[in-house]
Formats: sequence, C-alpha cells, structure tokens
Amino acid sequence: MSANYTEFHPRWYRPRMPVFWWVGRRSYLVFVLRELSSVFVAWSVVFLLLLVHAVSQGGAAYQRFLNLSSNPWMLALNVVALAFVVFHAITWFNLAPQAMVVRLRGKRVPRSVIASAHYAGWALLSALTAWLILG
Amino acid sequence: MTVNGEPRLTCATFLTDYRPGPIRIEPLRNFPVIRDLVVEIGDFMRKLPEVKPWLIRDEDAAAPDGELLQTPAEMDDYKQYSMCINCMLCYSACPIVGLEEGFLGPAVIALAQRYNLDSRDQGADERMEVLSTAEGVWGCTFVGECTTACPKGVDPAGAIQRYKLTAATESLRSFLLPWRSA
Repeated sequence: MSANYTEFHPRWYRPRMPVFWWVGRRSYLVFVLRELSSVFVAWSVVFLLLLVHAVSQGGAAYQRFLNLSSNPWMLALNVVALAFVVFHAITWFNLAPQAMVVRLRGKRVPRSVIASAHYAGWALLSALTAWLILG
Repeated sequence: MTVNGEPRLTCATFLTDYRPGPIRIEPLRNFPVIRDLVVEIGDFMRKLPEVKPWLIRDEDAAAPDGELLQTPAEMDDYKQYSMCINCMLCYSACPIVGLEEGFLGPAVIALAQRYNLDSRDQGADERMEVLSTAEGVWGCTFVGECTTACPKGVDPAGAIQRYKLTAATESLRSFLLPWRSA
C-alpha cells in the first residue's frame, strides 16, 4: 500500500510482496487454489459443450468424442479437473453463509442451515443428474 | 504490529503467551515503513472518508420531529461493524491490499456497510459510486483473512460479500428497470 502522495518520501521502506507470498500460509494457499480452480471449472464447461456438440453431430462424431475422452491425457486432465471442481464447490459452499444473510420472520437463519441447504441442493441435483443418465 | 508473522494488537498481546520464545516483532504489513515499527497510515486515512462513514440524511427532507428511533433488530444489523477500531490489522492480513494499491480495503468497506445498514442513514446511493468499483468491493477476492485477523469480531469479509450481492442486485435492477433508478 503506497499511496501516490508518498512518492516524495523515497526513504520510507516499502516491502514488496514476494512472488510466492501465498505459499507460507494455509489460508492463502487455499485461496490461490480456489482461484486456480476457476480454470478447471471453465474447462469442465468447455468439455460439456464439446460433448453436447458431438451428440448433436451424430453417432460418428460422438464416437470420436468418446475416443478423445478415453485418451490417458484427457482422462488425467479430467480427473484433476474433477478434483478442482469439487474443491471449488466445497470451499465456496463453506464460504456462502458468510456472504448470505437470510432472514425468516425477523430472525437471521443460522450459518449452518445455509451451508447445509447448499450441500443438500448439490446432493439433490447430483442425484437427479445420475438418475437421468443411469436410470 | 506483526507478531510471529500474525497481525496482532500488541497492546493486548502478552509475552507470557509466547513463552519461551523467541518472538519476532515486525511492523504492520502492507504499509510503508517510516522507521523501525512505525508505519505510514496516510493511505488508509485518505481512503476512509471516500466512503462517507457518517450518517447521511436527505437534505431536502424535513428535519425529524424528535429523535430517530431504532429497534434493537435494526441496531443489530450494523452493530458488529460499528465495533471497528481502525487498527488496520485487516489491511495487514489482506494480500489484495498488498497487491493492489487502489483497493479500498476491508475496514473501509465494513465501515461503509456500518452506515449503509443503519436504518437512520440515507446515503447508500452516494456510497455505491465508490464501493461498487474495481477498487471497491469487486477488488476483494474473498481470502477471508481480514475477518480472522480482526480483534473485535467484526466480519469485514462478510460485509464485502454482502455488499457485492447488493451492488449486483442494484446493477441488474437498473438494467431491467432503468426508469426506476433514474
């Protein structure tokens, strides 16, 4: 934090943030990993769109997509992406009660209820998706 | 100051808690150091009045007839933010303050929310011009360390995320219903 008007005080010591400032503290590391997880969330969306596109192009295109998906590199990428997406969801759901203030009949809904509602919604949608695909 | 790498109120930090030592005392992080443990806080002092942390009333409206009463529930809305003592430990804990010069910072935004959530205040629109910017709430990436560092139990990270929701809702409203915000 060096305000513009301090430029005439060159003798003041202004420590620079080291490049790896986020390594030494767990909370900073979790934060940076959460930010990084956005890239994998974006990749998951792209992968889903590629799937939808392949399905819309017919059987041959879908088979090509399946072959691409079974490539070891693609599998490894998607396993990493899944781990980051789950990490993203869990850390976000844990932070949600801090960001959301919900009132019912004038009383603030406890944080644990808001977090639980997020997890319940997640489980419900996952179950619904699994039922649609596997059922 | 920074005690063993953690932002601490040193007037309320006891040596006995750090036995047998050693203890490393450093100046507050993310501030220019004048000398030894003395930091330059002018940047914070310049940013603070930008959000108008005082009660704003409509100048055109008639003066209230008597006191402006408030229910306990209305006071609870903002009370925790009013506990801020401007110790700036949250600035020391926040990496965004260190990385982004212009970022208003946790305490300033929490203090703006202290007045935004006050039922007697009418200045939320004026503060939004400063708060709903890249240097305001949108600069925050929700590390959450400001709340951990606060010695008074204020939750600046929560205040900022709540305000993001308010600002986003307001933007959407002005987009969908432009005649209402005009």
